[in-house]
Amino acid sequence: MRPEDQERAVVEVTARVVSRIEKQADKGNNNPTVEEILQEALYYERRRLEQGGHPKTFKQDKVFWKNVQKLLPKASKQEQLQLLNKVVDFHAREIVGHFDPRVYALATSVVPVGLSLLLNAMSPKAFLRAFPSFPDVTRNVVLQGEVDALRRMHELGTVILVPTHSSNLDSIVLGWSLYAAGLPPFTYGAGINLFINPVLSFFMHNLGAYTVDRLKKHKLYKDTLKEYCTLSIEYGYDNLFFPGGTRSRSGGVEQKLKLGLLGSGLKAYLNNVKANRPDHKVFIVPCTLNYHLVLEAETLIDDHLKEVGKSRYIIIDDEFSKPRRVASFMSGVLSLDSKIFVRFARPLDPFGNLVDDDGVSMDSKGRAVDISRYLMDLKGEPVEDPQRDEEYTRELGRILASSYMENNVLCSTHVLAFALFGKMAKENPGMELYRLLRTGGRTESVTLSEVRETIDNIIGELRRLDAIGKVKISETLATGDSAAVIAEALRHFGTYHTKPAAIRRGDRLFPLDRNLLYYYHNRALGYDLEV
Amino acid sequence: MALQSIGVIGAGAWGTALADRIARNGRVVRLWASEQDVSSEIVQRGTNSKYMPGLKLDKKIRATTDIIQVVDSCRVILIVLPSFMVRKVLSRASSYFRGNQLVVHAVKGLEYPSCNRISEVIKQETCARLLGVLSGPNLAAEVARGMPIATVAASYFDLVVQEMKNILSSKNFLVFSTRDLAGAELAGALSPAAALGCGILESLKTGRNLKAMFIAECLREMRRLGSRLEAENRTFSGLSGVGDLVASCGPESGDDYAIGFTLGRSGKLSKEIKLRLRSSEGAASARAAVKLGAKLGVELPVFESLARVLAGKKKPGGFLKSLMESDRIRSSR
Repeated sequence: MRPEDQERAVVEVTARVVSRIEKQADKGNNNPTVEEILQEALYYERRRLEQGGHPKTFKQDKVFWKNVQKLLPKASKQEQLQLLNKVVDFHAREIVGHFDPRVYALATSVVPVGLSLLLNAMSPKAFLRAFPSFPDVTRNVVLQGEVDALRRMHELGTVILVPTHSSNLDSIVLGWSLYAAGLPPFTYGAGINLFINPVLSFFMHNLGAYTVDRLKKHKLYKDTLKEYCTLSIEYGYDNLFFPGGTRSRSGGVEQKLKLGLLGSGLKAYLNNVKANRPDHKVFIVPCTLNYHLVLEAETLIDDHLKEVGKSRYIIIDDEFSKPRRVASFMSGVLSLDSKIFVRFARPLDPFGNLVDDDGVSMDSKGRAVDISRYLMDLKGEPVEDPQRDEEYTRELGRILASSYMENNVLCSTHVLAFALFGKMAKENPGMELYRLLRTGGRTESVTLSEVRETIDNIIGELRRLDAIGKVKISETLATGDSAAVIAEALRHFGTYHTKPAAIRRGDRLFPLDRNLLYYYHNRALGYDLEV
Repeated sequence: MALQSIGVIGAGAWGTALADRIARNGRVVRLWASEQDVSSEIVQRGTNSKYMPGLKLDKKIRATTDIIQVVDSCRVILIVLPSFMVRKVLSRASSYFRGNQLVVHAVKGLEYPSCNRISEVIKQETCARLLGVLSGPNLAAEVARGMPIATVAASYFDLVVQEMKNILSSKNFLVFSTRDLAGAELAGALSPAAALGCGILESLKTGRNLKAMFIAECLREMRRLGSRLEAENRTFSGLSGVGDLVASCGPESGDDYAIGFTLGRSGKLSKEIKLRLRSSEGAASARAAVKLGAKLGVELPVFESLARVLAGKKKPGGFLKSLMESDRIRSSR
């Protein structure tokens, strides 16, 4: 956020959050009182600080919350409000303050060099091989889809880019992609855990990230964060959210999306309409990221399998925090000429309607729609209605999920894993997933001819689905035969991962790391492909 | 006009009864009729002898055959048409809808062959998003006679449900609410199919035991299908599900039961029955349910068997046999 916007953002965010809480508390019913809200914040903050908190802010936080603890018990209602104001202001400054405008300005000029250096620095072997010229990892990033529309929406209003999320590299890859598309960095909230690696942390900042402390669990912090996002959209800052909330643990395309931050777009648009600025439009641009190999695949799938349904939200000890693993991954990407697909889908409005090149929302028949009406009451006045808006956002989430499926770019690794894991499951009917993954059942290997036949069928079906816009496929899948697909996938599996997902010996394919195989297989789920 | 009136699209029995109910609550109702003579009679004499004989309509009902006028001038629009007519009628005025209008339908059917729920059809044809359904045991004649009735207003949006309560509720007209739009629509759509089946069984003099089994099986299949469409199980146990089945599956309950009875008694698909089946919600819903079930991988042996009778692929007597002997029904328990 530009320096001139920072102070007014803090003041506005604080005023909005405090006023909302005050109004709700005054209504009574089951709404918490101001005191209860502060008590909850204090409780969670004390617990967080007892567990160490964040090293950079620990001392400051401790002093602040000790003071709150001292003042709260004897505070009058008026003093409670003042305290609430202080707490929200404290959070707002922290959120805004983590975004350094000087670094942001610098980023616009250093992103391309920075990313190149970052990716290449992680891959010393590639660097040496290409010496004296610089190896260029960025040529491995393939931009696809509605890039022109993205640029156009940036000119016409505020863009919220909502990508799928597989890896911590996503933010960096997206940062470069936006630069390559001729756009400035988008602002986004990145978990504090991403800032452990100091080199990457520096670049995260450069690429527009502000720090989000996910260890802060209380509602007051979350409300402040959400309000900050809303305001930044109102101020015209392009944003980037990962609506999946966290990296896909299973490897599958996200279908359950977190609607909290996603709703900020609608809220910002409502505020624009209320302020008689309906032409200040907000556009949602879905985006998919697909890799032949995912840097953190091993950790993610382990986490998924250990705790299905309650996977750890924050992982701080994965491959991303180990420079050698990142280097090995980058080396693999370069040596195999592996592609990273970044695909921008057609832009939407905050209600999920498609928009045309002029930013006009269209209904399913392609007719222009005045979307400000969705926010009006029966008398034609724009009104806030949280239940209504939540439902609109839920609908947007459904449309996003289907856009993700349609713009998912499947690669050879996904298809080979789908075929091979599918064969294993078929040969062991009724076997529970965990047992199958642990033992492999009776499937030690599968003949190459069998796998080829299955893959021929799968790529036939995928080409049909691609033609009708139900999925996207990589070049090898679009033009190669099953032998080419298998060869490319095995080449990828043979690099980087500690143990390859599958290998070939003679005329048979052997699943070696079944968890990994399952992980890559999951990316191709949801298309009714047969094995 | 400021969109103060309530629009009712469809002047059949149920549309007329709802329009009258709303008008008696003090609202101006713009009632769209597809037939000029029906519209004229309402305007001139305040009656609708073709679909609601004997009922003197409230004076606040303004009938018209101009659908654009209704859509353009009303803040709340109720669609009360046979399922096969909804898309066609809406397409005539679809560009006149606005985003802040509440559009609620009281259609007990699924569109065939698309298998869409009616709210999905409305969404596809218009820009309306604030959608809802009126579901439950809604026997038009009883409403017209002012007899006590309860209905279910379902919408994902609370404001839609609240508005339905505002315009319909009276001491004899209870409006229950739910956010389970999909469940309420599906339950309402499949009840007429069950009524058709019950009519067939009644004509075959199978007795109440088998009818009870048939209704219970229909309910199970409705639930099974609903679970794949994000419907809530409890909706089927409530007024939209069990309530509607109780009201629909007996004599004098409506057209579908009567068509089923005639079909069962004649033992074959005569020309006249075929014609009646063409406009039967029950027949369209049974076919749509079977198609939807096949698409979603949901076993619906009872509805499948019924659909085969309605398509002339099985005699009504064979329907009874299939209920008693079907392994699929037994195994799907």
